Amino acid sequence: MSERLDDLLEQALATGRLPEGISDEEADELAAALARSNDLRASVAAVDAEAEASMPAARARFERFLGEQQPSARPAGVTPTARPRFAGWFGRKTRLPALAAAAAVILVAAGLLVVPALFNDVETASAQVLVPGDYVQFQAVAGRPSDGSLPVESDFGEVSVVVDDQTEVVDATGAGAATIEPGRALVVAGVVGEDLRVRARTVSVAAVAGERPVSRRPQQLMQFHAHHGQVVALSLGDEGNPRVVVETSDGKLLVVKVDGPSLESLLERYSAAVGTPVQIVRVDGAPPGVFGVAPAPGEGGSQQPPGGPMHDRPMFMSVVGIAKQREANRLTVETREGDVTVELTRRTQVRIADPSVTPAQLLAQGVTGRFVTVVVVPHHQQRDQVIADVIIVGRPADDESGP
Amino acid sequence: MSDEARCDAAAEELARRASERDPAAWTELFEEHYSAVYAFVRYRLHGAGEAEDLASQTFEVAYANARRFDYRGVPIQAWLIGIARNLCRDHVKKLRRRGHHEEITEMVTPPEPSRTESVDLRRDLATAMAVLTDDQQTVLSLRFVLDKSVAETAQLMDRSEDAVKNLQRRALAAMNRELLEMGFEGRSA
Repeated sequence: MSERLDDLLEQALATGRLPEGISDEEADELAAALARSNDLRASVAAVDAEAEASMPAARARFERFLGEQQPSARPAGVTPTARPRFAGWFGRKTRLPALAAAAAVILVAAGLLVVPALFNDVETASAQVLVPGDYVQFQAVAGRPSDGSLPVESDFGEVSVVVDDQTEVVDATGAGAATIEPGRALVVAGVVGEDLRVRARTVSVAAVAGERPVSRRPQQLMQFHAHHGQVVALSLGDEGNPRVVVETSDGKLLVVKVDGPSLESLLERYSAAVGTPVQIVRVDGAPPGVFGVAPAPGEGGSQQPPGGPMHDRPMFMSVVGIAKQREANRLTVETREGDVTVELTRRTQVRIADPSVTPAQLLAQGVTGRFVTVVVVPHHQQRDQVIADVIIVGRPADDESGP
Repeated sequence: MSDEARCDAAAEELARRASERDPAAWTELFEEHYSAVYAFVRYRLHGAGEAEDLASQTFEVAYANARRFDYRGVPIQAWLIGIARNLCRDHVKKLRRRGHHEEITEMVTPPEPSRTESVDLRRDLATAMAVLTDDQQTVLSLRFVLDKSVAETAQLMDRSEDAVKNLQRRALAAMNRELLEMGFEGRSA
């Protein structure tokens, strides 16, 4: 019987019609199968159009890959030329346009992912902080766009950024549109793809040029040491392990797993975490290898980093508080300044910053009653709308633990 | 030499050069097979970006393993599809291990309103495909998205033709059940 139906279906697929001499039951099954096969075939044109649209970027990526495989692309024994140290980030020496923001949301933890060494030493360093699927925010200097990608120089090497029609490109106030010009200081926020390219959701562009950083290989901080430095990147994955990348005062680049409460406190205090001077602190009860971050001594409760006015730093708008109520596509967040209603869209991404809750538990409990940090989509034309780009879900508001 | 024989010889020569990692051969292979690989993976993944990533990775992995490819008598597309299939499987497993990210996102975000019938159809199809087994997804992608014959599908999947016919019937039935459960009215044949 089964073989008969298999053959009858094949006949129907070949002719587009139900065979004759079949039972009603057979006709029902074959009609449904034929309909589903037609549905799939009808969608082929759309899939082909997608494939064609993606071809230029994919071709460029493969050509780059092929180029890197050739022996001449990997000179032996050549070290990168030292570039001027990137001084003046975010309010130290270089004055960058500022953004008045409620609080900064810090993004995605970057894991230490070791990938096959297809690149030179500088690019291998960037591969170690970018984990596919993670949401990242980092500072960089724009290169020249090529084949659908924007190469940027970060503190951990060159990163390929995809800027497309889904990307919001804003000036450092966060309210106005901007264009990315080579040499400009940027803060990029986006999601790391499987190819380690960052799909940018928002790019904040400074009005002035930034000094290109000296790329270094980042190291994971495993044992406590009261390092001081500046945050150059943040990342958050699905598992609730926020990480910061800190450039220390003695020139190291450290990847630090941080606990959720201290990160939330830092975000509340500063309107942008990238570029913030911090110190690494112990956290009682934290698992091995997890530390806290606190404002560097002398920063006090200022909402801006020392050494420059807030308007020097490109930043993102964010809303920090406690999720009070969710109704349809609106989330009400209770902040220090009052309730803020945030709109959620299909594009909104959610990340968990509380390692004590599993995704399954969060599904069951919901976000109401938890600390949340909402990165807001820059919306320079409709300023009365607050649209969530990323929601970072923290610990419950009645959790007394803290840094 | 007949046209068919000439084509076979040219394909074998291209495959031989690719097994020796000739960059020009690989560029040619990419141009020839990228769209097919993309179409094969598209319904197994969440979006166009993922499909582009995995399709691109397929060629990179293939290049890395070029010297292991036996080009004699094995269509190179079959080899590429096999790599793409493995990458899809690994990718889906990794997403499941990383947690219920998609479910959480859907928990807090509203469904996008439908715009056109074709867009709805694709999303429903992709959702229905996601619950099928790997073999069911493969046979539907090969037969109806890549328009492979039963014989070609059997070769690509290393199955008998009878096994492919049985698999496609079960796969279409499973997809139909899933669509009905989602409330999709659809069109009759």
